[in-house]
Amino acid sequence: MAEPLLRVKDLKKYFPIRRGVLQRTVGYVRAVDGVSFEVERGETLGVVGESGCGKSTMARSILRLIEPTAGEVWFEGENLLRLSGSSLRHMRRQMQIVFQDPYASLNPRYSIGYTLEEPMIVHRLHTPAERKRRVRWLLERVGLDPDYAKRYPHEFSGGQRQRIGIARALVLQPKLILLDEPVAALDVSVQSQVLNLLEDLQDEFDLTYIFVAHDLSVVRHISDRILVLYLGRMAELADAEVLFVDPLHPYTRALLSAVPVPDPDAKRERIILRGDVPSPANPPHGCPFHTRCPVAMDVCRSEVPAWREVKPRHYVACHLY
Amino acid sequence: MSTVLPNGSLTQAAERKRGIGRALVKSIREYPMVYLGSFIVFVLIVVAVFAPWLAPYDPTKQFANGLTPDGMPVAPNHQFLLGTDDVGRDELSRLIYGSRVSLEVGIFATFISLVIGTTLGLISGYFGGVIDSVIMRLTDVVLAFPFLLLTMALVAVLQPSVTNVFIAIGVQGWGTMARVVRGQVLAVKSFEYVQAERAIGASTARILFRVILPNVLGPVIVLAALSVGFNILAEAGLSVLGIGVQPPTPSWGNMVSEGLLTYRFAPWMMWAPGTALLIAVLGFNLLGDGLRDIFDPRTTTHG
Amino acid sequence: MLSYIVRRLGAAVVVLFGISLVTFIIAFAVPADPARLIVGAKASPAIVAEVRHQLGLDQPLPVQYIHYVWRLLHGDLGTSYVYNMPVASLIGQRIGGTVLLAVACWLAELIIGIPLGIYTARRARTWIDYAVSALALVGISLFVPWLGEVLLYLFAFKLPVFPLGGTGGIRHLILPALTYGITGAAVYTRLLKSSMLEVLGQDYVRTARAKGASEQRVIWRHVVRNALIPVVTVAGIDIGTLLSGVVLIEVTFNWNGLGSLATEAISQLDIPVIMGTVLFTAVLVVLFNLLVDILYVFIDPRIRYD
Repeated sequence: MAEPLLRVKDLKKYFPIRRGVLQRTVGYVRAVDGVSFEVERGETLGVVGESGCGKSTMARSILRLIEPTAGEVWFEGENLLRLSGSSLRHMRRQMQIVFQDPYASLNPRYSIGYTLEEPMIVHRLHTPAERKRRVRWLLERVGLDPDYAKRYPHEFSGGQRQRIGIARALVLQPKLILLDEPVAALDVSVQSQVLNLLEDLQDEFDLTYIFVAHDLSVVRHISDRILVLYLGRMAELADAEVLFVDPLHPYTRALLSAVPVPDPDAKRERIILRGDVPSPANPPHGCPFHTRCPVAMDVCRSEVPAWREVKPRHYVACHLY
Repeated sequence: MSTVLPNGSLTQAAERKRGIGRALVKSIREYPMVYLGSFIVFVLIVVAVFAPWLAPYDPTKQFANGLTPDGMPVAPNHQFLLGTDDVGRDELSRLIYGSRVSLEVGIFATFISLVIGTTLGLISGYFGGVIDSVIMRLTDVVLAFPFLLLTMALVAVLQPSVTNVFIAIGVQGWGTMARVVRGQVLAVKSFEYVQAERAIGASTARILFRVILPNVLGPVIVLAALSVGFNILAEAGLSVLGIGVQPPTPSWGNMVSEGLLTYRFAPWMMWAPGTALLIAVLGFNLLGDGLRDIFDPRTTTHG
Repeated sequence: MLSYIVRRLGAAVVVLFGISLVTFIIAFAVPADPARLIVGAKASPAIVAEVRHQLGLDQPLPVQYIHYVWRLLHGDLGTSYVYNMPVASLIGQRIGGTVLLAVACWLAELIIGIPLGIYTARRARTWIDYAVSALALVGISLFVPWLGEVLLYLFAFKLPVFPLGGTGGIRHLILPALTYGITGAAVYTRLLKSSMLEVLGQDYVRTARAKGASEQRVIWRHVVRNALIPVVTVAGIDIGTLLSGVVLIEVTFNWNGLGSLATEAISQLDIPVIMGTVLFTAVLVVLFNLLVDILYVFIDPRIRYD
């Protein structure tokens, strides 16, 4: 089997909690607590979990927009966490990110043209004329009028801005794009347009995606495989079709039951989770999900379930299996 | 529209001109403080730059007829429009030349504070951690000194001169700037577009100067304008304490200070420099306050 | 909360250390040789060297600094070259006058500033509001000694109601306090006005009105009380500005205090006295701010100190 494009090994991000006179660290918020997975070339890995489960922190830690606490991130044979300074900046050409909030992620002082040109300026690519040409071409690729280059972010709607954000991620011709809830802030009607655009672009440019979302229905169609996170830990990982048909982890089932089904006659058991997500500063002992799990057993309260491949290509961390 | 006859473009240009005029009137109505302030500052600069042409006499010349037969200053008359001082020098000429010291100290001291304050504030806010703590403690130290007393000590040690006065004022005035810039940086840093810059591989220097600095500029300009006014008063205060710019160089502070000894028999020596100081400082304060209203519409001073 | 207080104390100690370092460096940078200043220009080099040795000036700088801090910790601010007296006792003689004047000035700015702020906030966007705003801007732009001079001219010379300066009781205090009050009040007027306008927009004020509370009750019980919090903060913390202003007032009105002590010392290049007063006032400011911050822990329950 070929080497995967991205291999994340035991990634951890702990935020220290400081208290007291000397601001001593008294504990940690375990936003990401030992996540490992691989992403094959050309595939889309969906990452799903409730807000506060660490999925966004995980995405940003992979890119080192946030410095991870521990772990390894291998991209094309290089451990990103070992790179520093200019070699890291150089590596960033290969992997880009699209942010959730299209209002906050564009600099209001930059014209759209400059926003898109800047990555090429930073990496000293092309002549100015070529850069301008490329900007216009990219705007067209994401479905915008090339003349928009002269305008400023406040002149655009959320959906248009997100297209600009996507264009910015494409400028440097990356291999991998992290999509951090790219449609969560958009109207439902616009969401599908942007999702379709992302699929088209993936085919056209041979892109690999990591698609982070808080709701399964969004990632269903675009993802090849789906990883479910809970409290910074991995709950389940499987091929997308398999996960929807045969979810193993009780948490995944609960998430799935919340996905609306187009068929009004379909009878389905609605699983409603009790309580809130526990604080990642003070995660429960044993399985992190046992406080809300409808089928929790005694063992769940004391032992952390192992991450196991219970069926081919289907991994889960649950004492039921 | 633009494809009409040649005279069509003429009317267009005229219209545009009228448009600019109307826009100007509108913006003066909207921001009267900024315009009044800029006007005062502009006049002040013109007076300071063209002092040798504007002043009727040499400000240090002691006129024989500048003192009454019993040695008293001469009240304003057609030769000495603002009267003379206690050694027979023309007050108007001294007033005009005095604008130079005020403006020089006000502007250069502000420039020094601006450079130190902005740099430290940027570093402190962007890097955080230990660097931040160290810089903020340093700021606390600077802000803890009563401004005038420390300036007194500094100037006394450095010897009074225009340069030393503005250095002494400038090296302490940066505390507030550093705090404001730091606060602004912390706010800007949390925007996602700053992370976006890192994601495209921009260097720290690029992010600091091209992304964060422009966002910090507004409040800094406001503070700078206000600080020029404050520094003009600080310089005048030093003169009153006897450690400002040394005589015979005319400065408004020295003139007010002379007024303290002479107001009983020559009140004109008191009115002119004090009024000049008031108008100059008011000009910078109007400018600063007015710009603040523009940059931050939430904190209008008009309610 | 306790940890906040301890941390605040720690920060104050660091700042005090910084202050001692700054004053030490400035004093050391004086071009004139202190020993020479003491013995006079005619003394022989041997005597100068002897005095230098006595003062410890021949020792390396860090050692001198440690001695300096050690003496400071024992309340020894040095000895005046001119009066040949401990600086601490010179300060002791003058501090009373400065404190009296400072309190009078401080009260004057609050007495002028706070009612104006309340009044204009209730008449926001009327001509009175604009007039007061304009006056406030003029007040801030006034040069303190000049205003003092003008008041002396008008109310002590032309209309001899008050004395022509000098240290004394209430009559001597009124003009200086008024001078400072006029220039300082603007800060409070503006601050109180904007904070009142903010409070007026809050839900709990609307609730109070909806309950049918009288307008007077709403303004005094709900609005003013809450709007005063930032004003009190500034009033407590701005002692540095107050002291700078008081120095100028002392010189203008010929008032006997620390400011005039420092000014005299400067004209005589009496370095220990200059540095002593600067250090003393700076320490005063730090301690005062510390006190205000700690009092705050007990006054304002909304602030969390973690």
